[in-house]
Amino acid sequence: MAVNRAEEYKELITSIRDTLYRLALSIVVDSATAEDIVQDVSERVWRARDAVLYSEHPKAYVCRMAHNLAIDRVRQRQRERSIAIEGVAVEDGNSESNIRDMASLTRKIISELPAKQQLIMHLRDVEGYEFEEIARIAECDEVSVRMNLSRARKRVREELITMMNHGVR
Amino acid sequence: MELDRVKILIERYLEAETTLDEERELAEYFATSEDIPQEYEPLRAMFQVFDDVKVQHAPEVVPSANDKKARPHRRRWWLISGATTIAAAAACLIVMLIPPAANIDSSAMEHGSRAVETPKLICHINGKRVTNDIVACNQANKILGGVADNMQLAMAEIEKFNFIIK
Repeated sequence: MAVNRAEEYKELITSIRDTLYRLALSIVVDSATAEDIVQDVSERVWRARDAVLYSEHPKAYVCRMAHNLAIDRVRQRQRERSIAIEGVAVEDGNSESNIRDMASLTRKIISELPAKQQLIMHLRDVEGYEFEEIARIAECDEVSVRMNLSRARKRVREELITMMNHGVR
Repeated sequence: MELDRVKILIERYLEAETTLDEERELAEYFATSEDIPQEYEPLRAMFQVFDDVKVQHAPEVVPSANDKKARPHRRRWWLISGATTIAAAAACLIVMLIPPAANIDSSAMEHGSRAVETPKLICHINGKRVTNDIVACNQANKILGGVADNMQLAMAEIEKFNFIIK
């Protein structure tokens, strides 16, 4: 029984770890942190394997876990940055000057989308999930998934157009 | 792909109405076409980023189930080390609480009366927790005979020790 569960766990993590990594990476924009999140999720899933493996949708459960952890890391980083500059919130001046091409600008725009839009866009445009599966992971209905996805795609495109027209954001 | 078709697909894509196959069709168009209209450049950049992300893989540092099987051993080590620590602490406490024979009398003379007033002795008799000093003394007396006569003196030493560590 325990061996079977270990096998199921291994199968689940193996099948989804790349997705978890990319999902985390799209949010935290840092490979080391993304790796850390995948590791963290793997350990948490193992600890809660009974609940996860026998849940209705284990992959959705695990994806949500990774997404939430990534959001937490971003918030934590923001808090630390705020503390480091004594509570004064300022824009990171270097980040804009470092944007040298459309791809990096696109990544930046995507990383600034609302968390839910980011998640949905990633699951659809990168992972190629069906709307039904995305709805399970994002815990909303398919109409909401489509609406959020549409907004995300349009916003990224519009921001890129603005940048192209004006040279800067 | 015909530009008319591209335009239709892009409109549907932005409304999130395309199927996965249609999205793959669009991705292929942006990845392979050389003469893409300027107005579609932002979308090409988006699809480029998606393609770049798709090829990224998690490094092989994720613990496998086999690794995880070792965890119970690790936990057991924690349990063993924890239990050992507690046992060692208990042993030290017992050693400290047993007064050296030579000191019993003199110490008891100094603190004996106080010990009688506020004895704090807890012991277990036949698995039952006993806090009543007299019952404990009687039981101990029964078992140890004359040794228990020194119980009050020992309690005085305990009290003294408690006072010191406070």
